[in-house]
Amino acid sequence: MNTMNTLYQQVPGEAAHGKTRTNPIMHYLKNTLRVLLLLLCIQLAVPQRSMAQTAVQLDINTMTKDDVLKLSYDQLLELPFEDLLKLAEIVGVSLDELYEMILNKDLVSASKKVESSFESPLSSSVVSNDEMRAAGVRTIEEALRLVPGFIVREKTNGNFDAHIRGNDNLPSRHMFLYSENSITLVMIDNRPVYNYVHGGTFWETLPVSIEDVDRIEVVRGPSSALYGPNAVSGVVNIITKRQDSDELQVSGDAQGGMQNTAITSLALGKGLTDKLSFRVTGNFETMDRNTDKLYVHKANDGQGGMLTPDELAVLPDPGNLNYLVFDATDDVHDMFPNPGLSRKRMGGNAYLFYDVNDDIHFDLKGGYQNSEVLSSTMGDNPTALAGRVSKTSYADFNASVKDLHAQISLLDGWQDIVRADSGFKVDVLNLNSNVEYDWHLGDLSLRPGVSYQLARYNDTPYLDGKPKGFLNQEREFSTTALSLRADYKLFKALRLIAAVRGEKYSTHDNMYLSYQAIASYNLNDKHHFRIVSSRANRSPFLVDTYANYLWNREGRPDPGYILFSGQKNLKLLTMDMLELGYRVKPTKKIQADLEVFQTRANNYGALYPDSVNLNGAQLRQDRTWVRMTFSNIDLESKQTGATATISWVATKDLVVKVFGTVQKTELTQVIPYTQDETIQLMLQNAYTSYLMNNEITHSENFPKARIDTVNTATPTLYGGFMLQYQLFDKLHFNLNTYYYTEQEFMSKYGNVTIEPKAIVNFKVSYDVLRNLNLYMNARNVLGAQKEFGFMDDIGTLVLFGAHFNF
Amino acid sequence: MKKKYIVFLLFMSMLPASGFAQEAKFKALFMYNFTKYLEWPAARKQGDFVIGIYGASAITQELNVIAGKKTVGTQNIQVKVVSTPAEVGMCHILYVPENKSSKVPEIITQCSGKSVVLITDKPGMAQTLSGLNYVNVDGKQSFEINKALIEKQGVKVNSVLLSLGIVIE
Repeated sequence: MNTMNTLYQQVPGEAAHGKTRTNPIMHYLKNTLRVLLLLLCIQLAVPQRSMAQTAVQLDINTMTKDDVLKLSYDQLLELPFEDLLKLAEIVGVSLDELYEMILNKDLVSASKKVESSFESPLSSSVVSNDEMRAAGVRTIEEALRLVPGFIVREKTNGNFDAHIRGNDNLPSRHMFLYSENSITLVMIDNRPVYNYVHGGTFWETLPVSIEDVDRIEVVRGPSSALYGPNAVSGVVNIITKRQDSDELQVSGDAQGGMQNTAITSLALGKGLTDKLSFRVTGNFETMDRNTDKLYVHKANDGQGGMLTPDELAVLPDPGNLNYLVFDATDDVHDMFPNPGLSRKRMGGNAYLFYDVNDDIHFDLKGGYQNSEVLSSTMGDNPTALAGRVSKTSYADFNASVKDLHAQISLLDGWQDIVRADSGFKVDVLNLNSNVEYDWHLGDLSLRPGVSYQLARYNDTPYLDGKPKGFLNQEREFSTTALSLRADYKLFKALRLIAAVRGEKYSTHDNMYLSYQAIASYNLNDKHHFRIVSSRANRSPFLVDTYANYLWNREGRPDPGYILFSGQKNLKLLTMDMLELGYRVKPTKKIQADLEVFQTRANNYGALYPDSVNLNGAQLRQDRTWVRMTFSNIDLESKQTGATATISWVATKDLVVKVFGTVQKTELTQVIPYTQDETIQLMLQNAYTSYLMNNEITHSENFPKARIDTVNTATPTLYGGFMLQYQLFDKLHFNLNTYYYTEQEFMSKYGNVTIEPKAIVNFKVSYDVLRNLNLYMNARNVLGAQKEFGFMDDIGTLVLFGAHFNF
Repeated sequence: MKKKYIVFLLFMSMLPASGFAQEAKFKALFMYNFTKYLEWPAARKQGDFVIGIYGASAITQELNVIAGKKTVGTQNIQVKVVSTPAEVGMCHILYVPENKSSKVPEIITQCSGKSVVLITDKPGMAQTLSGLNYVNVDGKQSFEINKALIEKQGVKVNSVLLSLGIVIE
């Protein structure tokens, strides 16, 4: 029914044209007189007929929300208050709309402007603070288990490995370093928090806790054209809360339980003036492992054992000759002062918001964190675990003046990347800045931008004047970039996006170009299609570029010395993607998302020997030496896969979400040897040459064998399930499960098969007061299981806690 | 009822600001309708009828539209954004958005005896502080009315208005 047609009385139409010919003037006069008489009759019959009385014709009781929204201000102003109240009920937020808001959250990271998840032109997900709390996640990285397309494994209590769509452990059969995710860009409010020493994210060094976070937005697929280098497999953008009230607001959370786990956070905020407000937050957490022993590799078979630091310190032990040993200069007790501690960190943040008006905003943020973890080593140690300690602080200024957006941030501090291991402690200084402008030209919007980044690291303050660091001086590289994004809407349903970004690294002679080309089509409000073609690249790293380190391996198997070297102009890892996406809302309570993707990645780089020398004439006369250089390898990865997500709001008390990714990653040009096997082959080659001509003791003959294979390090199937249920008024229940199929972690120390498993968590919470919630949080209830090669068996954890919000 | 309220609160926390465009419009319309059922003292029936908005609010824009179309009796409507409690005395109606609720006690002090009808936007405010208070019941816009607090300001309340709102005794 079109109610608008009933709003006013129908004006009687004129009589049908007569067929009899009459004088036109008489006809005009007659008709005019007829209309005047009619108007007079109406005027007499309904004196003082006004708009208000016309509006009485509205059938308030049958109006739909759309009908109400079509009413003009004039019509609304003439309505009796009683009717207006009824219309307010009609336009009120219905349960259907609330369902829509749960299923279809807003996000900004896919287009740098607010849009609904359903219409996002890229594969993307949003996890709200409410969802994180409901699911009981302890850390931000654990929250990524709620995100489709993420592979998340717990290494030690509270410390996670997280990859978007896999492509992990490449190159394999190498150091743990190459299992770190260096191809996802993690940001806090658009501020990159990336480790430019080796690549990747040290999650524990994020100064924020879940109490700070409003939502986490994830974009899957190459996104360097949007956010710069390292957004190769995607982007994680952690959006913090803003202060939106003048009143003092205080919130906090505290939970504790098994394995000496204690996680606390506190936040308070207030408006200082009409335009100025602030938030201050703090967090502290400590988590223990379920053992104080460390896995130690053996020299030949990779099947090591668990030893305490005391046992490690006396190696080599006559009874355990096969164990690898630390360098003579390393003090095991300094490296592992508290081997039972998994993670301990504290952070503080201050946020200042100055909102001049709706168009002009200035944000100033700053903070500090102090963290230590025991997780997979970033070095080449006898133990699978190593400590990592960091103290950093940051400042972040963000200005938005109408369509002009500018951000500048600075990170300063130090990181001991392999605790107490000589050469791994560095001073860190990262600068990120960018300016972008939104230029609206009707249906076309352009967003040109310029960006400058600087990464500076210095290990000399920690070397006592000896050249035993990786860099042995202050080193830096900068990135200057220009970008342009064009977003065009054609016929409202079709959206075309083209984005390009050119980057010039100070370590490289050539520019790197990344792009996104997107077409999305809204068939109607229930079907959305998209096709994406994109390219992204990783940035240079300090160690890859500037490594300059001689490692004396006394007490270890050959070689006696390894000289590490970096090099400039290494080709940067680049990924191309073609993706098709489809979103559908078959009913108001269900939303489904399907993405089918194929990626190709090349220009991998890693540390490989480029020459060996039997007698080390240039260095030593007595022992073999190897020159190891960060080099490009011919490895290529082709990944084909699909991710499906179904969200269902069954009732207002029951929300269910299921998602899964199936994929296959084919590898070509794989080096079938470990790093050590490669060295041994090259030494044999040199020795053969020596035997043949008695002179050549040097070899640069890198083994030529290559194989094509499938990357079994990424599970074929992985995903999650979440059920949120409100049992009654005050009792809430959340069940969430994360699952993956079998996978094989391949390192230079051996291979470890990770069995298929489901990690089951649940949380039960009770609202004691409107602002106080008590809960029990159970993690991994199926018991101890290893999720990552050579790491800890992750046991069940039961925590009890309270959350308040005043 | 209470269960719905809790669920609603949970969902409301997910609502984007853009979802409330209609909310501001209806609050402004309500405000104009309040004036039909309230009678200010004769001394305040001269000059413009001033609707004050404390701080920034989407409701201001909506009220400006109304001010261009309607009057209160013979008085033209003037919409004024105020930023300090000292400015509120000139207003016939003063709207205080939820995020400025902490200022209400100070505002009341400044309004005392000046025939200012205070409209707030936070649960519980009409219990002791404001004469009119916007509330959202299961997603539906409504209002609470505390007759005693309005009349304490020297403004008379038509009983029809009491029948349309949620009366707070």
